[in-house]
Amino acid sequence: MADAKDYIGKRGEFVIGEKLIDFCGRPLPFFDPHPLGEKCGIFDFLVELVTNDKTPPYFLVSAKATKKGMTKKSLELKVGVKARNVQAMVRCPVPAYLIGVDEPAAEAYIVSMHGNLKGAISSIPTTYPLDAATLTDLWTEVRSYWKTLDHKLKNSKFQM
Amino acid sequence: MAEHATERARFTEMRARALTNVLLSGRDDLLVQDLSGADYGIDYLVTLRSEKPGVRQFAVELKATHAPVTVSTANKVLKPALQRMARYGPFPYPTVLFYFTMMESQGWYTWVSEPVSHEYGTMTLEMQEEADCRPLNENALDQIISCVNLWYDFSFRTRPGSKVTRPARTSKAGVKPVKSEVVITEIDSITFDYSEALLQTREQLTAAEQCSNYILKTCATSLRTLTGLWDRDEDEKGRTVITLTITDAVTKKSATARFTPKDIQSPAHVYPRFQNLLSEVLHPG
Repeated sequence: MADAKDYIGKRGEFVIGEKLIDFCGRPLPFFDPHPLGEKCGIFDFLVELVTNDKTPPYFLVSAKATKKGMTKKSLELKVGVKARNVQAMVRCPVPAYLIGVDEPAAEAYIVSMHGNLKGAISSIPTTYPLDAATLTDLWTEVRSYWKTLDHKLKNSKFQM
Repeated sequence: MAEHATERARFTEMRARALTNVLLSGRDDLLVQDLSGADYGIDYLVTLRSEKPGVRQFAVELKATHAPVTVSTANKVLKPALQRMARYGPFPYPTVLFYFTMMESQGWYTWVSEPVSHEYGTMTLEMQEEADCRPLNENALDQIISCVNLWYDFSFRTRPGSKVTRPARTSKAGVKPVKSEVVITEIDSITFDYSEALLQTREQLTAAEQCSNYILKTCATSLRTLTGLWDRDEDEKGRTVITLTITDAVTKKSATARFTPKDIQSPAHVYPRFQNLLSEVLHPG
């Protein structure tokens, strides 16, 4: 029997999936999200960029949905992430983002998980709603990251 | 180019599903089953979690297109889809079609198998072959669910003063089925019941129920001592005959009228015959 937390989490994933596949008036959407399932501990989506590139760039998303709404003073969305999960996301070499979902309103907000973040998170700013402008910037940011990254493995024990 | 079109079709379907999931998950009283993998002609089976009696379900079929459309275009485009679905039908539950467009994120819905109310207080589930698209949003979903609940209220006879009709017990093989027990309820009108033979024919049972409802709504006289029994039999030439027997529980007087299956399709046609029966039972001689 699914409890309320499962229900909110599932709906959060629906909302994020729907926002990321928004066509934004274009022939194709910006992103192709792949849910990672419950067994993946920290991240909930691997999101590929829709491009003509032979190997599509991608990023990882941790989804947090809430019914708690916004903080009174700073109007931040009340979503919680434990410190160890924050640190794991920051250490991830692939671009990692946290998307908070205001479940009743079916609105989603994104923040990047990088830099010097260490402590637990109790709320996130709502500066970047997952709308057409944010999706455009996100696509550009992730693509730029992969363009400049020298990510090829130089050596391997398991060579063919 | 072909690859691009395939990709577009894939994303269009994905987004239509995503929009449906977001819409349906916005209500916490729905249990949604994805049946798109099965060849049932529907994509989702939705169960209402309600305190009302019975299992209440409706089905959703999805269609989507990339370009924006007007209502009239949507109605034209969906006509073949409705005709195709009609070949899968009839469905045992109300069924709606959700139609999404990608460029402008529009959503429409149209009934495929629609609960239709009739003047004489009955409802039928009718397959639609013409689309009648209306904007799809939370309010529309509320209306769809209200309509579905009305259908099951009628179907399960949960309206105030009504009784749930259960199939009558049958006797041992080779013996004529036992007729349903006739029960007098506290309502201030006649009580109708249906024989086992009639309960086994969906179309004639529905028609008889519609006639009963018409009579209950139309006849203003207090008839609490009367019971009516609908039965199905054959005449000497093997033709189906539907009978309505009215009995007065106090005087034990009864009278029976015979109808063809076609007669009972029209409750207004049956009503004068019912009044004749009343006269026979209440004012004999």
